[in-house]
Amino acid sequence: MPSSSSTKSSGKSSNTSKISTSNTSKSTSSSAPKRKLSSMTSFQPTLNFKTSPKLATTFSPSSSSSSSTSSRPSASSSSSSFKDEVDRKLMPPPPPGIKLKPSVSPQKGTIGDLKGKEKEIIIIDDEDEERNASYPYPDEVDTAQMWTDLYGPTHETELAPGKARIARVKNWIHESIYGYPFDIDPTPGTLNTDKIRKYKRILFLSGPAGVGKTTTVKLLCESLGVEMMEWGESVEEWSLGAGIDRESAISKFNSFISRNSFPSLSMSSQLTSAQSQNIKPRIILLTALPHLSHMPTREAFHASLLTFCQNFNKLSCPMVIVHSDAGSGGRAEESWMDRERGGREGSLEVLGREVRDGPWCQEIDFLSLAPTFLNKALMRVLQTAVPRALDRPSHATVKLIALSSNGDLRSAINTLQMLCSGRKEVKGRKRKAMGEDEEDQSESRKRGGGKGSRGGKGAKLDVNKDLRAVLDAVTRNEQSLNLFHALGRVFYNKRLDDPNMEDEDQELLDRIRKLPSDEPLPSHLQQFTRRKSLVQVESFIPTIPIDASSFALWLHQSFPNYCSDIEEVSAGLDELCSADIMRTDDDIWQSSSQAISYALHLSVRGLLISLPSPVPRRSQKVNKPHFFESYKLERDNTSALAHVAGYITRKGIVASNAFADGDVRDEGVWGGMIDKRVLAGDLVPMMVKLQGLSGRPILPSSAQTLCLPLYSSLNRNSMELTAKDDVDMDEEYEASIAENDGLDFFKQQQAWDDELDQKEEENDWLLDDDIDDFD
Amino acid sequence: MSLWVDKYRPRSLDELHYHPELSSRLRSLSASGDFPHILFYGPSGAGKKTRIMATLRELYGPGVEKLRIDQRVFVTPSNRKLDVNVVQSNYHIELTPSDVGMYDRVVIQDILKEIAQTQQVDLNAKQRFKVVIINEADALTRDAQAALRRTMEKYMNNMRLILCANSTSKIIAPIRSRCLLVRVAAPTDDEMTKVLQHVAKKERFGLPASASKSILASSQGNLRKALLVFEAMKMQKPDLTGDLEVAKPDWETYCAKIADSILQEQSAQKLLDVRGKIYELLSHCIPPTVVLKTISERIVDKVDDALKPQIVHWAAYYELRMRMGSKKIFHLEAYIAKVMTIYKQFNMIGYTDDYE
Repeated sequence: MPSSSSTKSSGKSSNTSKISTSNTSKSTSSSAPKRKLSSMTSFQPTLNFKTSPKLATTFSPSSSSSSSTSSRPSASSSSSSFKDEVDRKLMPPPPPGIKLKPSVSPQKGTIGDLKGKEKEIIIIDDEDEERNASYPYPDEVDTAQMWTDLYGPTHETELAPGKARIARVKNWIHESIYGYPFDIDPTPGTLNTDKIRKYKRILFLSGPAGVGKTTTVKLLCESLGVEMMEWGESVEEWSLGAGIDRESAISKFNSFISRNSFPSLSMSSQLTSAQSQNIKPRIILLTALPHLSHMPTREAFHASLLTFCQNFNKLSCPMVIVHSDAGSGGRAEESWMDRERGGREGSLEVLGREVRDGPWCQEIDFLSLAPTFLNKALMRVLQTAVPRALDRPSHATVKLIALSSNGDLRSAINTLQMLCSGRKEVKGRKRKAMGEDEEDQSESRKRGGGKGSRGGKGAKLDVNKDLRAVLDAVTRNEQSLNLFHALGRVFYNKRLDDPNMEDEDQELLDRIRKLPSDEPLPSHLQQFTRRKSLVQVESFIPTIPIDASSFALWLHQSFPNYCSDIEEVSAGLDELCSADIMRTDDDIWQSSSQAISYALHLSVRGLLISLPSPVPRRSQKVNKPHFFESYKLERDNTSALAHVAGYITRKGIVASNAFADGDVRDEGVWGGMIDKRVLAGDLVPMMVKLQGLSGRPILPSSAQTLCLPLYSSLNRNSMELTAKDDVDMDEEYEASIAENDGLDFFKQQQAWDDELDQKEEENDWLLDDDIDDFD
Repeated sequence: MSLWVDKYRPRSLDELHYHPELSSRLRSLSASGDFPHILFYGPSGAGKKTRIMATLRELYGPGVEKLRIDQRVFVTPSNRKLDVNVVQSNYHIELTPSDVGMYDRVVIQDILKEIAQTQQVDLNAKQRFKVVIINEADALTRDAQAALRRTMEKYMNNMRLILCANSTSKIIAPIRSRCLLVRVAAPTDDEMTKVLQHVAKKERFGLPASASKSILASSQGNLRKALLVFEAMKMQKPDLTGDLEVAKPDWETYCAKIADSILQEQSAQKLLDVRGKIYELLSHCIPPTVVLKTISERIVDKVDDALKPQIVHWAAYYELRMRMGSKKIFHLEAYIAKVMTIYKQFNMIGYTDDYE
């Protein structure tokens, strides 16, 4: 029954979209109190408002959340006076009986269920404990909460990122607080802990979203007994302040840092050792950063980080900055946007040059998770979340979710939750239908239609359909499927009266047959005679799911595979070139939209006429454009080249000055800049050779990426696009990155000259140590 | 350790090994007190920068060798910060504005204004003006060149420009007409041999004629490259005799192999193989035009005479399109497909159609 499944899937998708919106609204509402912390100076950190959204889960068996220090009554009583005031400003305070539920409950069901759900929850809330205890599905209440919050890892070993990274983070936190690494026993007396602590001021964690950066930090802090102060800035503050608070956002950050960079009661610096041991060490966690693309804000932010680094005393606490890098989608426009914005925000933009290159800061880069890791984590969540093995989705389902989430654990868990909550809903409704209330019965009767369409076939089938719908909606498979089809339409170049036309849409064929036949072409154009194409370009073009420029890249990547002769390839590539030239200007936003659409038409039509007809079927594969990867590499190499240029220039200047001072050694006396083209083409390749021959380092290690790999070893495994794939990234590729984290073996053989760089850094270190080493 | 290229680089006009007329012209210009703006142009490795530095020394004395490197920060109208490295002495400043791409105009305007508005502080300086060296002048955007043109007129009192470029064709006419054009031609084989012998003598060994011949053949008038190859060769085979393998940059080997595989098989599959290598070259910052040129040179060497004009014609055709378009790989590949097509056609029927 195709119709019912389609309605269901549409209902599902609306469901998912709703969840995502309610999810965001929830996250903002939970971050709102957090932010208040920062804006109100008189608040002590023990008053943790973060717990309020969690309160509803007081009877959840596994409420082992990190911040459940305050229980509901204490929070509500303490929020008597001005907290309420502020609360009211930010959002209407929830009525006490309902306990936040109504605002969260829409997550659960489709729109039709909304009312019934609320009712149900109110009933539950009014019930006594006994009733709850006998409740058949104790976890159902929790489905209103995100599983990512509820079933987060509770132990280090459960964390999803690689062990080595976790260990590095752990050691850093430990060092930054206690002055020695976690895995080394301190030798008391001989160790001056502050010497190390002074240089462990900022830890910068970067990586794609949802790999568990924040979770790692939170969990490690908990296990090390460290108190965590979190700063998060959200958008509403700007609108709420109505202009008054506007410029003070960064000054708020400043005061937050200065207030919290010491453990509580820091004003009494003459603490006895016994007292100071009772105080929990503190760490500052920065998750949401200020608006860094705004120049003055960025400068102020950098400045405050620098002061934070420089002001160190015995009691200061370190800072952890969590930054997920976004926007690595790999569209063709990126090259252009990057130029404009100077690339996506890397550590340099966030931290500023002084801080990043200074001795205080360490960067740890998290990689996106390989599907196997994801799978493990998902299974763990599932085991805690769904106690009965029968209720759990199959292993294959979990695997599919893991595969389709692109290394984003958070989204994978959300998908899983959505899937499972869908299953429970059915059961919950059955129970409901037993009926206690008149209203409830009428509710369930209203839902009767929906139930009928679902029931009968049993839960198994439901799940499969649900799964498909959920996965489709969540993981953007839709898009890649469309892309896959669009590319296929072009590559297969179907024309009227091709052989094997049985599976074609007869209606379309008829329509095309009815079109008036073409005028015969004059003899000198005979070569362009083709049968009528089944691709109706005018209606096909709007169905292309990506922009024209990216689509051209996709076409370009795979189209030679579908040709049988080099002549056809040549003709097709010529068309692609002409389309490329259509963008008369360097940046495609300035060229007119007409030009872009002409270019798209030209590439599609050009390829259709160049491809053979019928296209030989050799089970060709559609590959992902190599372009993006190459472009990224080129960008990295350009900056490596800039570094090498700087290095050579500095070296030349040292030598030149020495020469001018009359110190004639056999150093090169060339102080001047070097043309980048010369550097890339002549100098670096030859210097690498000379370095290899002589065994003496003449290039900095940043040049090693500039070496070309061996010619023969170049057959990179091509990345195939399948209908199930996501457009943006390639899981296997990501996983392979995650696995070979090390350097290329061949490049390690050479010695590189980092002397110059190191010397400067060392100087900084020594000077600093010498001057203010006071204890 | 320093490279021979740096170690034996002439530091004054007298030490230059070739183009004596040019050296004497530069010397008399420096002495005249009426030093013009100069545009040095010529192929890579011909000695433009060496002559510029020697001229500066002639102008100001050894003081120009006291250098320092600075990082200047410029802010674009859109509030983006640009970091530009400049090398300067008390008498001159050297910069490469094309490093910042489309924002080079901002750099040019700011720096030139700053230099032009400050008088020479050093009372003992031989000249009243400062010199600004602009590298890669042919990579400047049109905007930047226009900005340059205005400042050249305005600040002639305090400042002279020395532009350094590979060719004048990408420099706008108003600038060309305001500069003294100085062409630094690539050295002839004899002149290169002289330089190589000079270096060999200083390093105290003899250079056999066969070795110098193979160096010259591989370096094509690029003295920098010749010296680098020479040094690598000397390290590989200290006696420099017998069968010498000339060390070439990796990317040249790549291009040669690409050309070979183009001629070896003309099919879509081969094209896809070649594409991987080209991506590799591009991602290692080898300019696409250089890749195209090197590949076509190699192909021209190997094909029948009847085909040669065709190969060159298409190389020119696609290089122009590459400049106009944005995705270099399309054009490089289209060129390769075209070459494959005509080569295949020629092999099958023994002749080719005319172009177009």
